[in-house]
Amino acid sequence: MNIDLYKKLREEGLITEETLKKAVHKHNNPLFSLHWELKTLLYLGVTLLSTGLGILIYKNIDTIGHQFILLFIAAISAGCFYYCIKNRKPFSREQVKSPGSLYDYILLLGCLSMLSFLGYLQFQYLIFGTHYGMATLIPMLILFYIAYEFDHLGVLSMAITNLAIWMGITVSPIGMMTDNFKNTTPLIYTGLFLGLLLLGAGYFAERYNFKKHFKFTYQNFGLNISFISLLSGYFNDSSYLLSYLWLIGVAILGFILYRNALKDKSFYFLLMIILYVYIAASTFVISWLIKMDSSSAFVISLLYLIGSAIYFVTVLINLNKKIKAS
Amino acid sequence: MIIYNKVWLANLAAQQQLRPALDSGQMSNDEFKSIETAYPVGFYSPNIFIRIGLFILTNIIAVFFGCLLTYILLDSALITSPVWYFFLGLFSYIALEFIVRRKNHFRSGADDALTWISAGLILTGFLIILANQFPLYDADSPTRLSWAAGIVFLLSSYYTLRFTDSLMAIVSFLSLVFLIAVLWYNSSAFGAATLPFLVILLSGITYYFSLTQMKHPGLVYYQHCISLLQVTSLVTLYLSGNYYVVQKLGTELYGYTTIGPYKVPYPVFFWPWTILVPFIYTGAGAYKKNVILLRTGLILIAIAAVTFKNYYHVLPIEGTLVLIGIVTLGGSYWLIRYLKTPKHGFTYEELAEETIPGGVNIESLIIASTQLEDTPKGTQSPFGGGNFGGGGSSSDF
Repeated sequence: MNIDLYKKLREEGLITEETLKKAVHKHNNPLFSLHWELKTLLYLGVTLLSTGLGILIYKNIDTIGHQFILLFIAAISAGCFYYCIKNRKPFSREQVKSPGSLYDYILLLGCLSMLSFLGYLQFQYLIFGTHYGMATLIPMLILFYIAYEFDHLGVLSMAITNLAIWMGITVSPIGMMTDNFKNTTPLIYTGLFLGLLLLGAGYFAERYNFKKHFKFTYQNFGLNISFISLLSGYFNDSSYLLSYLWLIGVAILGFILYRNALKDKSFYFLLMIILYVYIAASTFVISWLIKMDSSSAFVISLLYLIGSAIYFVTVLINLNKKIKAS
Repeated sequence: MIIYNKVWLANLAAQQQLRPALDSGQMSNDEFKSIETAYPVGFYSPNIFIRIGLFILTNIIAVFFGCLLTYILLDSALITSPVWYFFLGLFSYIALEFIVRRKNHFRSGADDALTWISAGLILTGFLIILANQFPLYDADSPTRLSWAAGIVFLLSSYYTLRFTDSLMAIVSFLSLVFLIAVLWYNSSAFGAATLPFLVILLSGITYYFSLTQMKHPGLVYYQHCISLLQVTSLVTLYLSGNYYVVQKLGTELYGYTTIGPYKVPYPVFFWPWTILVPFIYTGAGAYKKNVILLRTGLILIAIAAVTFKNYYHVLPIEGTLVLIGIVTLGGSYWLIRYLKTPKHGFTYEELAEETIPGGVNIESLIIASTQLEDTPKGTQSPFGGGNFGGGGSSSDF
């Protein structure tokens, strides 16, 4: 901390005497925060432990020790939940501030080991029989319940992923990108439905003021899944009339979400929406120009790309100004 | 030499120093506002999302504008000569100077993109000249390598000095080390045998000077470059003595000799170095309360563990993971409890909340994109090997 800077500011009358005193006090009693280091270590510990347990189960699935392992995992999970129930704050419709990041990660570990436990039970003893839908539905419901009851965004993300698994897709924001473009139509409809469902969940969370801060997570998954589904629908469809329907979908969804993001002043969503719409529009224009199959069309498509990119640069800059000013 | 308005740079640095005080509530909003008006910063530096957007779009514009120009001149001999790349590089460099000088862009995404595009194009031009100059040498011959490294060093140093770009500073450091290493290695048999020690020495010297000279008045605008240089030199200092790296590099350079496969000489030196140095970093970082040293050390401990695991299989992988997981969790649990009331100047409390404008919960983004990545996909049994998710791969139902 630069104490001379504070002194200079004080001389210029920009800060009060009290602020200077506080700064000098802090300068003389420096505190070094290990917050992020410890948080990272906690996260690492949870990840390593749950991955290790997963592999442990996988390797020992048909040996004698498996009942012991089952007991071990159940004990970890139960212990974590016990700790969380003991330290939790009462439920509220509003955001409940967590008692500390230790609590957050222990809850996360509890959920992860519970999922391993249930998965193991299903594999070994077929507790849900061959109703695989049930086997994914139950964990999903439990996760959603925990996410709301204990107010945990990470568990909510897990619950949403489980919902997607249940509906037949394995998603994570990045995994979706790499896998799903080559998938076929039925999955696209499921994806679109899931995306809109999540967007709806986000909307209602805010509308009815029930865990309003969950909106971001719902919207983040919903927006990416819906746009990717719409775009893959457009890329996959061979019949021209239908493929335009997908594009109209992109436009409508983009418009609605754009209004919403502007209202929330969310740069992140604005950027995502603009990029998805830009991809859709450019694919449309370029595919038309390619069909013309002439050298002038090639030049026009280059000019289009340059011009449209410049246009979107100005759009981004203006949006930034507009949001800052409001 | 610096292209930016120095008064603004100094004001920006002052504001950044005061930001933690504002975030932790030590300073009122009104005070900060009055400081902002008294020490104005006129740069155009939008938030991270706009920056990413501008970066992508500037790349699109530059790539297709280059395509367009190339297409127009497709029939002329010009575009096969290095002159063409210099022309394109200079063109984007002029665009960069223009937006920085006239439009006051500063880390706006557009200037980041143009920096790398122009540098890359100019470098390509030089590399083509190099290939024409030494047609008899391979691309990885010492002569061409050292020339290329020298050119990269000069170019990136120029960009570092003019645009105070910290990534360019790292490129500049690494290319210099590479250049010296190539020359040293090819100088004599003694040089070849002592290569790791040379890099250790160079990194050590760089770290020493970047640490002690940080407050030098001439470097006042390069503080973030110096910080990143410290991290990089610490990492190269460690890695050049890391057992795995030395062995890989040795095998690469010597391969199988008449006396069998390459063996790492002086294991008495390299093994303790591999294991101990990260702990020394961490310990020194905690002792000196130096964030850079501490965090670099913590990351390198992980690398040391992986290196060790690579050679000695003490436990099967799942046992190791569970054990390390329990130790990490238990250790940090204990430390958090221990530091509940600050001790020895350490605290667990967050001193200032770090937020990104736009209201994004960073943690939830990270958890969403990493924690769930390893959901099992298409394993043999529908419920095999999953950590969570109750098993389930999309393709099996």
